[in-house]
Amino acid sequence: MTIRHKAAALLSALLATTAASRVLAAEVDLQIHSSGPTSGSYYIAVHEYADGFPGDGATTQLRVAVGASEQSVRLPVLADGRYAIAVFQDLDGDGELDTNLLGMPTEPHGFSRDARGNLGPPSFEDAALHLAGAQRLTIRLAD
Amino acid sequence: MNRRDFLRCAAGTGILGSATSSGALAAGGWFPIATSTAASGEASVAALDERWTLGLSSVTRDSLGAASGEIEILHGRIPATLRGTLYRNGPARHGRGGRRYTHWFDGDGMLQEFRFDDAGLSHRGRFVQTRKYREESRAGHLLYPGFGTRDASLRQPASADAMNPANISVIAHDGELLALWEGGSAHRVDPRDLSTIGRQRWSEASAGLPFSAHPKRDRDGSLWNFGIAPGSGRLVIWHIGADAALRQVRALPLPGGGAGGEPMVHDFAITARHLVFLLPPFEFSAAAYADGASFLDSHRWRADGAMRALLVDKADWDRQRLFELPAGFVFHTGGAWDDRDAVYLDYQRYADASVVTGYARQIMRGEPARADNRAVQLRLDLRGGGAQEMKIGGHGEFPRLHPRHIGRRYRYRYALADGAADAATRQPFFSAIEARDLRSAIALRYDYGAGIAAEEHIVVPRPGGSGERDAWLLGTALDWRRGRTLISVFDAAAVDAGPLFQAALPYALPLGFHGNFVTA
Repeated sequence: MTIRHKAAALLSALLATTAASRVLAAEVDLQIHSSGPTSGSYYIAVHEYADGFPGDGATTQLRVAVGASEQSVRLPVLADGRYAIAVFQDLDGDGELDTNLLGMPTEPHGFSRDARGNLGPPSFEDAALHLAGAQRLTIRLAD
Repeated sequence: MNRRDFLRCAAGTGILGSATSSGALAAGGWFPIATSTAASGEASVAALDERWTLGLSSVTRDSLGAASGEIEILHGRIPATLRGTLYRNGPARHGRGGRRYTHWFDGDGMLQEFRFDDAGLSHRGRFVQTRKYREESRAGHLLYPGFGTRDASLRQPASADAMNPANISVIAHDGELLALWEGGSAHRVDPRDLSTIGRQRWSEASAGLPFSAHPKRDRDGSLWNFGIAPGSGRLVIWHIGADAALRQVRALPLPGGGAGGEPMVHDFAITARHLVFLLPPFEFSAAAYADGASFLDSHRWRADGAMRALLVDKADWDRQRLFELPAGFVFHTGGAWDDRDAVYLDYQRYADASVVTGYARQIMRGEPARADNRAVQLRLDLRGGGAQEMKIGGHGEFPRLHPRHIGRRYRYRYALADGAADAATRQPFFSAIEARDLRSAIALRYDYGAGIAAEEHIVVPRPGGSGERDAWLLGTALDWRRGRTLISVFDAAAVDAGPLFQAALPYALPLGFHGNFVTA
């Protein structure tokens, strides 16, 4: 099942109506590798802006059921540009990335470019990459 | 496995190969061999003394073992009522893929099991199968930073557990073993075959929190522990019931408040009413860590700072008291107790943190370093609020006591001590053990002699015994001249009489840190 932000829906509509013009699109095939159990859901958040990364500032979000430890997910078509992607595996079905008393994630999670933060999440800059055309990306989840 | 194969492996490319090929040991780390004043006979002995580096070599297979028939009995016999297993842990793989760690505390933890049963003594060893160990085994080279080793070629760990080597200690817990580190989770190990079950998860809210390698068993059977997460500004306190269920865990603000500046704390103590923490002025800098320094190198020694003693009331963790002591550094506490007026605690006090920043690196390069310290007893005055320290012993480490005296008054303290030949052989370890009577100030010693590095010795109460010295002292030692690990049993009341029983494994194990005995 796919949940789309309004912005993403608008974007898709825009892309559809201007297909003949010079707007470029990114079609991303995201490979998620998880060493955790093959259960629950992956929550995938695509961020265009540093503001609200990796929290609630995503421009596109989707949820897919976990079927394999290496799973391919086709992202909604994005406008060509710079993005950072955050993924977590929701094992207990509460729709949230669970954390411990110190705010450290306790469910598998990962970022584009396999970025890792210093004692916290990575910065948008560390995870951001240019997406254009048909592209394949791999994110390895750590727990 | 057979002894000759293992020794060949130890002497050749198997064990020390990665160190030599990386140049870490070969590049001038060896200390000068003979001195001009030495007689020729002594010079030839001294020339061989670099063999102590066997204690910092790597085991390059996942497991090893020796049945009772393969273990040579050197002296005496196993006491008829000594039945059970000594489990020990320590770093036993100090590098991989031609690369050697720079610090003693980085390597992967290997559990060692010494079983005393009716068939005699047998040994098994197996690496803790941490995520890190499995990933690096598959890759054939190092992937993650260690406590003191980090550079741009190693991955940024997603969490402390991503680099958790489970390499400091091991305790029995709920029918299983827990292999302990201090920066992240404990690892569950099946005592039947030393296989790793996975990371211990006490609760959702506590998953991945630091769990130190020095939990303390209270008189009611419950277990206290702590952890400090760098950058969090918090002291995590754990209390686990005698039923093995988590009773309470909280992350309390460290004194001083705010994130950053967390002191490096390896051990703590309990008394009847308090938890006692010594907070040295060796403090974490998140900025240094963000710049790529290792966890260790992200700490700053503040010579003008104080070591602080923090008392936490066991009944109400928010009730705390802070005392100031002269600057100093500590790894291990011995015992602690309190009465109405004061809290008493003994520990090995270092003048500064060079034991961890210098010594534990130099020996990895084959340099015969020494880190001086002394045993002190600290008295924290609960009425006046002052703190006094009194010297109770000399250079030593790994203090232990009778397990039933943890948290209460004790008279006898057991620790490693300098041996007579240590200065001459220049081995950077201890070759003697001592049993110190704190009332009479008399210490009984046993010196293993030249060429032997004693490891931690622990107190095993005699079944049915009640006195504090009604116990055995059990410990391992590395005979690096002969390339074998020894295990000895002493009468805790007559350590100076030498071992009641001593045996030699048909191979050498790298030096480990801590262990515990599980009675059969």
